[in-house]
Amino acid sequence: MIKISINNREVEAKTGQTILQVAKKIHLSIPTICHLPGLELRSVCRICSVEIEGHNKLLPACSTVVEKNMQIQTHSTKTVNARKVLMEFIIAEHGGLETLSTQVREYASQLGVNSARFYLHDQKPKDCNRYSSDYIKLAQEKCIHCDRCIRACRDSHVISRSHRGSASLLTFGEGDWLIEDTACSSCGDCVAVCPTGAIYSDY
Amino acid sequence: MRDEIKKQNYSVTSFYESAEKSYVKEKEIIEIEGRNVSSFENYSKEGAFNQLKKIINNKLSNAEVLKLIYTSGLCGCGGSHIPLLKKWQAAVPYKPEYLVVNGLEGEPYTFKDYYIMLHYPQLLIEGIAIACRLLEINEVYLVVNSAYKRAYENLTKIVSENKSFLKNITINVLYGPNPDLYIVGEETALLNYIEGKRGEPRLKPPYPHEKGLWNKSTIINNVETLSWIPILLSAPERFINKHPKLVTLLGDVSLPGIYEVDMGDSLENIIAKAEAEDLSFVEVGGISGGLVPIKLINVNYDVDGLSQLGLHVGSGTIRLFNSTRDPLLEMSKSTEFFKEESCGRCTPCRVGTQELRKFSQQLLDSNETDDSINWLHSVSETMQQTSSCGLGKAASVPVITYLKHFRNL
Repeated sequence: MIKISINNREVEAKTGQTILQVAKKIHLSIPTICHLPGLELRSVCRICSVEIEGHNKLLPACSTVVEKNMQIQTHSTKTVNARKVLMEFIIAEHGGLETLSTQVREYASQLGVNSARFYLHDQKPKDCNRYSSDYIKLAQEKCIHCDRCIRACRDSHVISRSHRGSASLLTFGEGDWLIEDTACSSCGDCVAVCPTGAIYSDY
Repeated sequence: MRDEIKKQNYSVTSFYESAEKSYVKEKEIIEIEGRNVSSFENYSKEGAFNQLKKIINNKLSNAEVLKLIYTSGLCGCGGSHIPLLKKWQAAVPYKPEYLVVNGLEGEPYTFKDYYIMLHYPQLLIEGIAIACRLLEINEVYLVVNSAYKRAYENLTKIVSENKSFLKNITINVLYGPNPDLYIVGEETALLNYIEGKRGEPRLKPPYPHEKGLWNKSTIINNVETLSWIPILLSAPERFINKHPKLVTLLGDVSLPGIYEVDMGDSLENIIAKAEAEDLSFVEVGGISGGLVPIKLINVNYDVDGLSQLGLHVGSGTIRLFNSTRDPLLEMSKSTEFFKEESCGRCTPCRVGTQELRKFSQQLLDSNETDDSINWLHSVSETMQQTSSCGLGKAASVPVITYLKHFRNL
């Protein structure tokens, strides 16, 4: 057991635990979007960023492992301001708040963000959903690139990201394959973990 | 005036198709000259592999070499400026298995690594061999930008000719991906590239010295950093109270080229070497560097001096612009570059770079508002604080320095 401090409160933690795990134990809510227990850690949405003494940058709570005498601030002005901007980024990419998952909407209302001052969802290429199969359907204009589907997929060669920067898209197989041409078994794991409805199923 | 410039030069949106971009893409056509590179010239006069021979023949012990590296304070020249020995010391407990040498140099307008690999390939290979002997590493991956074809040929030739010195050290010289892929130059993205994966940065920690190439401890060094080692061993006096560094001076100058300078020299003196006339502003640190008007360059060229102006040494590139150029257009080109080159992995960088680009367009159209400027500052702060790699952290530097030094905002 090691001693750390979260929001000036002394807490005992096990070696190897992440900040998020310790915070959960003391019933402290830190917003997370890309994080899902059981999936590989990626820390791409960065909304769980926390302030740690001795570090000049914010670090993601979901993947940062606690160290002895770590002094953590989970809700300082700096972190909350960063989270507000990131939440707005997510709303902008998704194209609104209403169709996001309940949990994300809850975090957004906690942060007091309910709209974005710009939207990016209409910039995706028109044919980006043509890979859809009968069971797994795509609505990539809603995608926020949380990478949950990429990590949840049992076969590492089915879903991946293609292109870069503003043009980032989900792609399938060895690139530009239709879902039905890949090893996809339509298990629906990707649909189950998607917080946006960018991958969905009518069944 | 601004409209005229827009018509004459290049449009920002077609940055990729413009002449400026092809200038970057086909780096090889530019015969960049080395000027004032006395350390390198002295080295080639003395003959290659002398220092390595000394080490092999036990005339120079490993402890002596390490002591020299320690006292010289040799730093990483790829942009990090972390003392080389500190980086190595962190890795030693993990028993590093691979050395990756980063010769991708994806930074536009930067040619220092190219210059070394083209004209002094023996120097680099000697530096690599010495590093391998010190760290007990047997396998090296040297990744060269795929536009640097002649440099690649020189390096493979030197490696095959000097097998006797290299003994059990295997140096794999690889081509990098398409030269446009800027992000693969990030150290963990480079590891992914070598492993055959998508060239995206990895989550840190674990750091490469803990889990690097194929999950084994790996050390990643820049071409220039390792090239300084043989020079340090043959001429230690060059490093007494001095930190030599190569910089690329380019732009509206009469003597563009690679210059050997001392860190801590005045920026003004360094710029004066390139003999520019009618200078209006400079960009320090490559495309992610900041823009400053010429009247403010009265600072020292080192980490502390440059940070006073919000700049960083970066890859050691200094671009100079005369009064026919517009800082706003240069800044917009940087934002367009980052919008395209962000790997798309983490949210702050992927969306933030698009916001920066949009803001620069607002400035070009002169319809920025107080609100949009405040928003831009929060976006830039969030990107610097939360982005997972250096690209997102540095992408807002051109915009912030432009606002600070040219608009007082």
